[in-house]
Amino acid sequence: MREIAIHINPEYKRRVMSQSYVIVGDGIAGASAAETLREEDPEADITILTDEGEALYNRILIKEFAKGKLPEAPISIHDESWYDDRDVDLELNTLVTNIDPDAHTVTAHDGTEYEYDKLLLAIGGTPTQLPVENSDAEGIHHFWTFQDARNIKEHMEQAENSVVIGAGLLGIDLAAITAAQDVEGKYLMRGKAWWRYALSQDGAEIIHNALRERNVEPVFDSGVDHFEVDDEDRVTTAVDPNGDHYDADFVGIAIGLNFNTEILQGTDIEYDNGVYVDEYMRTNHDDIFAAGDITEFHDLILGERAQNGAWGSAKEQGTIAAKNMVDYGTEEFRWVSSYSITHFDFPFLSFGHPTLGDDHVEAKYSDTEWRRLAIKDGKIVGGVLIGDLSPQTKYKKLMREQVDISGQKDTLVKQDFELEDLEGAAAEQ
Amino acid sequence: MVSKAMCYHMSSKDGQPASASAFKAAPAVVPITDVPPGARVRHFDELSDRTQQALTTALPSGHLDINPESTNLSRGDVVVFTEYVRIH
Repeated sequence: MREIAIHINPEYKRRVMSQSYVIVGDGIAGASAAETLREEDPEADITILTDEGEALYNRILIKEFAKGKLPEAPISIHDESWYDDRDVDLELNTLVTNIDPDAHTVTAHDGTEYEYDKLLLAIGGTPTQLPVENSDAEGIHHFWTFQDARNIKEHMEQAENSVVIGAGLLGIDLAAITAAQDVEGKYLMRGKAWWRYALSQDGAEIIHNALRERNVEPVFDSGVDHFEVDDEDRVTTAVDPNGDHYDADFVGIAIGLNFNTEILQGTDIEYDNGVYVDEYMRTNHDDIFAAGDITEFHDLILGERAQNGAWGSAKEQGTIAAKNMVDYGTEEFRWVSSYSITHFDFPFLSFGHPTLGDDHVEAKYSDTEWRRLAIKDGKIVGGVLIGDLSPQTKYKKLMREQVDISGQKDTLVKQDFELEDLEGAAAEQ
Repeated sequence: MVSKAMCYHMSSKDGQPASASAFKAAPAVVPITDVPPGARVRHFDELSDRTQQALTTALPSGHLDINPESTNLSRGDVVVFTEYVRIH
């Protein structure tokens, strides 16, 4: 019998045979990827698997819910009809426990197997546990999911005194929640300043004062050695390494995230703290991509690997990943992220990588106005603005375009800085 | 322990535009204390750089110098910033 070889044009094949996309995670990265995939590939099969029991919600608004300032409704972004309307199969309460890159399958906790042509990992992180005695006692909260926010709000409405641990961007949300709920608070910090890796003492003091005005007392050179509990295993006291006792029937801990890389163990997908991806959000496997908090991406601006947990960055990564899942090489991820704090009378915004760099410049303008820029190899790589956000687009432009600002640090922090103030090549941006 | 009573004031203090003609006026940013039911609520971090810039510039005067429809904001949206504001 004569064999007939049939060659199918790959582009034709791509068009006539629907692709199967599986997305693990329904946060903003996963959901924005699904939306883009549907736009880019109308015939595709798209499945989202999430271990959470609810569809996409606004993670950066859950603090407002916990404060008691917003009801639940505006926090929800997608109801299930959003997925139905786009013919996206959403599987809630589905924890992925195994990935088989060779077989192109993922397996859920109940043994269900999902086949994919292209896989997106948008699996985020889980709050880091504090490794001290009684850290799992009743009344000790972490703050990451909407359900965490519900639990915090319910508890906070009955609390009398609180302790917050974690001198960073998530910890201050917990401190602000205690303030908004009118619960006396102690904010235990290991160093002498809040977010000491990005702020100097001058900048941090503005935050400290704002906390004190709201009845939250920063405690420096502190932390937690252990918690004391009552007979019902409820937390009663935080004891710091100095032996000082702080009564607290509510404790909030935000000391960072452990990225959910467990399911990568046993695969040859490259990861360290997060999943390694290139500027197209692709892992070392051609058919496996990643987006959001979980990625250690090649930052084209910084020139090295970076990780970023900001909402806008995660959304953009999801979009970029989806475009490249459909047609690899379509678009690079090139982004200057930013993150704001809106708890106080003055605004606060960090952008880029404010904790990195080999140099910096800062200036204080008033009791509530301060700026610091992080510089690496003569270029801005990040910064923090307190009080006046008006220069942010200028600084971001200089960072995005990698403008050499060597020798002009003082000009950059003039209070009324304009791009035209720069000299030489920097002025030509 | 005493449970603190919580309630949401679901009517807007500043209110809806007084009439349909108000929608033809230039958009303004109005501080509010209560979130109207059904309003879309956005955090400042969800806005584009351009919209953030316009919003922060607008806050002292209240005049929003952009077309909300050309950004990721619409009239009636509430933005969480250092206070809650509504695009009016």
